[in-house]
Amino acid sequence: MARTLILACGNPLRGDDAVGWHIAAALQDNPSWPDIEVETAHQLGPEMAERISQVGIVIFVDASVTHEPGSIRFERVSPSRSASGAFTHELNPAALLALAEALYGRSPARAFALNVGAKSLELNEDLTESVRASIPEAVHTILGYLARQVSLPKPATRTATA
Amino acid sequence: MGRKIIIDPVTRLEGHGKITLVTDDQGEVQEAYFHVTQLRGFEKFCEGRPFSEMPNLMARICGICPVSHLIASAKACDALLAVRIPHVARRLRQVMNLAQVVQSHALSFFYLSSPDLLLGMDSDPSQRNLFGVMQANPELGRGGVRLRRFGQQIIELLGGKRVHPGWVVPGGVNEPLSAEKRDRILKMIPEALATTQHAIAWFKQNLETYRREIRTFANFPTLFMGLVAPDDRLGFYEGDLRFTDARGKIVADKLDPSRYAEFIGELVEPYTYMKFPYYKPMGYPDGIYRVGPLARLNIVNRCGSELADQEFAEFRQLERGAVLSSFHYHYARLIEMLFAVEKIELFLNEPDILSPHVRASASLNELEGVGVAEAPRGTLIHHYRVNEEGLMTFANLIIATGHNNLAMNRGILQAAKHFVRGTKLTDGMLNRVEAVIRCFDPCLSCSTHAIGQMPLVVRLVAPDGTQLDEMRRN
Repeated sequence: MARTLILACGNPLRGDDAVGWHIAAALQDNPSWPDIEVETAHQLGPEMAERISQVGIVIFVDASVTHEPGSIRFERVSPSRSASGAFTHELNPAALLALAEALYGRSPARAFALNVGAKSLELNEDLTESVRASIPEAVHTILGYLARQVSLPKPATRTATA
Repeated sequence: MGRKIIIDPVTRLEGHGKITLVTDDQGEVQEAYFHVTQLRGFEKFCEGRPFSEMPNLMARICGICPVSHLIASAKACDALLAVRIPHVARRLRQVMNLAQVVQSHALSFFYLSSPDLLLGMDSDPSQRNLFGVMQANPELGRGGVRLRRFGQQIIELLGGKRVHPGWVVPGGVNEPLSAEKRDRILKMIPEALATTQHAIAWFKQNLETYRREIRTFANFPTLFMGLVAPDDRLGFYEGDLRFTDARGKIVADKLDPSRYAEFIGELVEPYTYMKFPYYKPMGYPDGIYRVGPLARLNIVNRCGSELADQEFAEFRQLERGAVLSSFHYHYARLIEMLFAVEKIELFLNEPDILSPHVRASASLNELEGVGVAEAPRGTLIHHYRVNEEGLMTFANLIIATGHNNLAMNRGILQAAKHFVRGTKLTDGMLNRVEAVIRCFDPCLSCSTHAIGQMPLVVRLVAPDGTQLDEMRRN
């Protein structure tokens, strides 16, 4: 079982909301990193807590409507119950980490969120130009971070395709 | 002075709705309305599309129960093709439908309702969630999450993905089951059975705690409707429709589901987008009936699996005729989960389950088709008409939640009359009004993104529009 989990979420039918899925596809196509498990989902749910509790590193990948279109934010996430509100079956990364702790007694030591600013969430299966252009950098950011964690050389290429 | 109390949105439901309570001058609730505030429009915008697209398109109605729409739609398309699908295809569709029953019921019971049941209707709203459940009863919380995952994993294994799988197609399914997938599912069965039995035992132990809710949560006489399989068993996928009354007597039986329009009428009220189906021979609103887990257990003589039948016998002892309290939807849901897990195991152990013959091929042979299946929340009807080119000219969908619309409205009124009093609103008071609706587990839309992030706003509004009071929880 892989020690690193990339969890990309979004709706592939809602324009830039699918950017996480494209990044996930690019990571799956990248043979340079053997120990990644990549999963895609429409949203984060409590059922993911168990898998998250089993890995050392988790990176949540998602689109963001609060950031500049095409811009990339890579930030540490800490478990937070207060982020859950009165949730039902949909969670944000901090609440999911907290749930993993509550349900299974642990959450990954290193948890990050990579968010890509979205421009359009209209009903279609295409990314806008600026968001599509950000995919290689997003992949590079993730692989670069993972390489540093195990002192491996940084990835040589920034041309991964979705 | 009379006034209006508006609960908007109602939380921990699938979709967006609001409640309006109208009081008289003495502060007594006189009227209650449950509004569904979204217009979906699937019946209209599918017109002109090829019928073969319908299973996938209609599944988009819902992110929680897409499999039910997939199956009802595929059955309507089978009727358009005029084919009898292979036995194994029928079995595999049944397995997927039952897996959906488990995941959807688990969501309803453990995620949406167990916070009320375990922590209490008057407990701190900020604790009434899965974290609160985890603190109070970790085994129950963990089991609920695992059980939902069990259902999701089966759907994913069969259909290739957890939400909106495209595996069920007109004429059958598009891929046989592999031995490896079958064995993976069978390996998960013992834990799912144990978890469900544990939850049933816990629920039964605590039933006494909810005596007041049992007596006041939509416990009035209505008809009950659902599919009944041969030998009076639960029929989630096939069978004929049956109506029974509050005494448990059969009112109408062996009704051909494709002729639903002869016995189900639909009425539109101006305050909601959800229609009000009723039993035609009794007229509107006297033809009020309920569907879903409670109704299904009220209309059959047995479930049709060993462990579920034992629980069923005990369940039916709750009342002399039909079990009337909608609070017992929760109980019925748990028994149905047990039934579903047992049946999945039975079906997957059938010797021909890996057969490669899983799809019948035909071109268009009929211009009208009806598909009916039991969704987790009740009977789901898809009715299509097409032209000679196979393009849709008409669609009518009666969703499970719609059947319960009359009963939900009446149930809200009953609970509000009992729990909402005076000029000072309390959270527990309003939570009980919401909890009545949660018993029915209504699925108001397929939009699941905003739930849990929306505030609950309750406003007291005088007849002249003046706001008298407001409560908000985030």
